[in-house]
Amino acid sequence: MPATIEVDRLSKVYRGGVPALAEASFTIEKGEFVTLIGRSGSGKSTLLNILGCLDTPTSGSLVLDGVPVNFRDPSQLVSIRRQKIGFVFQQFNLLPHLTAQENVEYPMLFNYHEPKIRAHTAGELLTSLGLGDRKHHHPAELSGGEQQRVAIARALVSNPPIIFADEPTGNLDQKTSADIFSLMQEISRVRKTTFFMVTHEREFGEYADRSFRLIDGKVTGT
Amino acid sequence: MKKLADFARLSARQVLKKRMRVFLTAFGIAIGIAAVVGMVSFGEGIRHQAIETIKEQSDLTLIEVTGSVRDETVIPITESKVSLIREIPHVEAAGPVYRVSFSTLHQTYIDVLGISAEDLRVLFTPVFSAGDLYPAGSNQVVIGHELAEKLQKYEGIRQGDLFTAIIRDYAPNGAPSDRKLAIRSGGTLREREDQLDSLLIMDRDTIHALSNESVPYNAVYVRVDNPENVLTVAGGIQSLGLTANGAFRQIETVNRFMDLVILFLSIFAAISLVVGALMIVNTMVMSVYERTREIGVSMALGASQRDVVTLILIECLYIGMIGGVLGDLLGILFSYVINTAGKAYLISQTGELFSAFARYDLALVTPEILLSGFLVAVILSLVSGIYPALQAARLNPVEAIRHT
Ligand SMILES: Nc1ncnc2c1ncn2[C@@H]1O[C@H](COP(=O)(O)OP(=O)(O)OP(=O)(O)O)[C@@H](O)[C@H]1O
Ligand SMILES: [Mg+2]
Repeated sequence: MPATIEVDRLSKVYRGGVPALAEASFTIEKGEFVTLIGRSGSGKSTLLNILGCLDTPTSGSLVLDGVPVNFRDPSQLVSIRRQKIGFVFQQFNLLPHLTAQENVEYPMLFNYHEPKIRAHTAGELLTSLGLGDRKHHHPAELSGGEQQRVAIARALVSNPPIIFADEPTGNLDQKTSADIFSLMQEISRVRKTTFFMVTHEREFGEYADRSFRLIDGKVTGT
Repeated sequence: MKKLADFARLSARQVLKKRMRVFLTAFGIAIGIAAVVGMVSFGEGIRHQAIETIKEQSDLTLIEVTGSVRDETVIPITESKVSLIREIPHVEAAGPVYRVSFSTLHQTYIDVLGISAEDLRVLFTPVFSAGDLYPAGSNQVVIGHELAEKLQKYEGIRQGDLFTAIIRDYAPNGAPSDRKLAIRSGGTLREREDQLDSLLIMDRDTIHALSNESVPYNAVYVRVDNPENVLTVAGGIQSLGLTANGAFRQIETVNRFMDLVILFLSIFAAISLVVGALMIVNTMVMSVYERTREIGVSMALGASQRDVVTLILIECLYIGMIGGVLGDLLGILFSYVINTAGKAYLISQTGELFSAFARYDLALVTPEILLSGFLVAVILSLVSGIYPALQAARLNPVEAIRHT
């Protein structure tokens, strides 16, 4: 089975000369659940944003789900984001004026699907994540844990092979964090979705398939 | 693109969410549109009035065709040209004529129109106060009202009299020689307030027989079926290399003048449109700024730069449509005020001079004006949205998502 994420000597030096990532190399298999742990400022978000095709590396190469990423081709980056990647953020980042279901449908607006299919897929996902009775609530009417579950449903809606999550439990209490974490693990197991999750919670690393550490831009534990 | 319908719904939500801001921005555009609609309607009203006045006072469907000079060669009116004129669509009748001049024994100068009796009847529908048309080839003439009075006063010539006309010819060396022609006043026209009043009219063939060689016609009178078609027919005549003149030229002049006046009025009114456009730019720049994070998230979730531009421009489209409708409504209101209060004031101030205003509306709002007003609002809004939309599309998603 081919690797889902192949990283070869990825480096990132920010403008102004800040070295945030130094020659990271690793491969992640399909359906693996990987956590990335490291101190604040160690370059976790930098790495995740590059893997998620939101940011460009200074050097190195990346292959996602068998597709070599050309960081100089914006339209390829867009189609990779549409088809291969789901994002979960620390701040949930739901659109406040849309209902839970509309938020889940949102990515499908850019990757066109018939409205009926969209509503059906989003509704099913929300129900399966235990939010069947919250579909028509706005984010402001939901708890943090519920909002993050909506965000996870949104990341899953296009059925991408990879989900990137940058401190998805950073804004949640311990109990809810644990719930969200096990939810993601279950999804990974059931759907064979690769998860790459940045976290501060060392404990999560122990439950993951693999756990990387990032120290001053250098990846260890691969 | 099927996406567009979804995007339209999504943008509508954004617009509805900020109803007040959108309404105020659209209102800014609306005021500019109303000013332009009002000014153009006012100009159109005056144009309409001027043209109606010309139509009432002159014979619009009559065209006088004369030869012309092109590239230093004279294009004469030949029989074949006359046939071509008759073939132009909407031409009801075309009568070639000679224009010459006589004098009387007492040196009264007379302009003569040589035209066949049939053409005279069809083209000018003469009404006689005495006598009738001349038979073909005769020396009988028809005399215009004014000329008849003059001849009676200074020469003692009356209806039915036989009198002598003097024709002056010039030899190739320039020496003049006179010929005498006995003609009979066979008909006198009623007053018609056109050129025929001062003309002596006689059969074309009789005039033609006076000259030895065959000469081209001096003019052709053309009757057009309908005032609306006069300009088309005139165009057809011009394309034959001939010159077309008539009362319709006055309308052209009025149109050219009013075009200019309306243009100037609109330019001043359009200044408020510029202000409205700047308001849209400002609103949308603010809106993009407020939504920086949302835009970044959308990009992470698969929105392309083009998607972002489209979403912002659709919002501008809504603002433009609201502004256009509001502007048209305000413009109609504005015109209504001009037509009621404004008109009453103008008539009370100018009295007799502008009595014509009493019959027509001062400002004439047409569907074309309203449609243009709406389109201008929409286009202006879209143009105003280009900068904010590009700004949104150029956002770096990573930075945008971090934005608070
Ligand atoms: N846009 C940028 N320009 C310059 N330097 C940056 C930029 N973004 C991040 N950095 C720097 O790069 C380094 C890594 O930042 P990064 O955000 O990846 O850290 P992180 O591990 O995600 O930290 P945290 O746990 O606080 O989120 C830091 O030193 C940071 O100051
Ligand atoms: Mg970070």
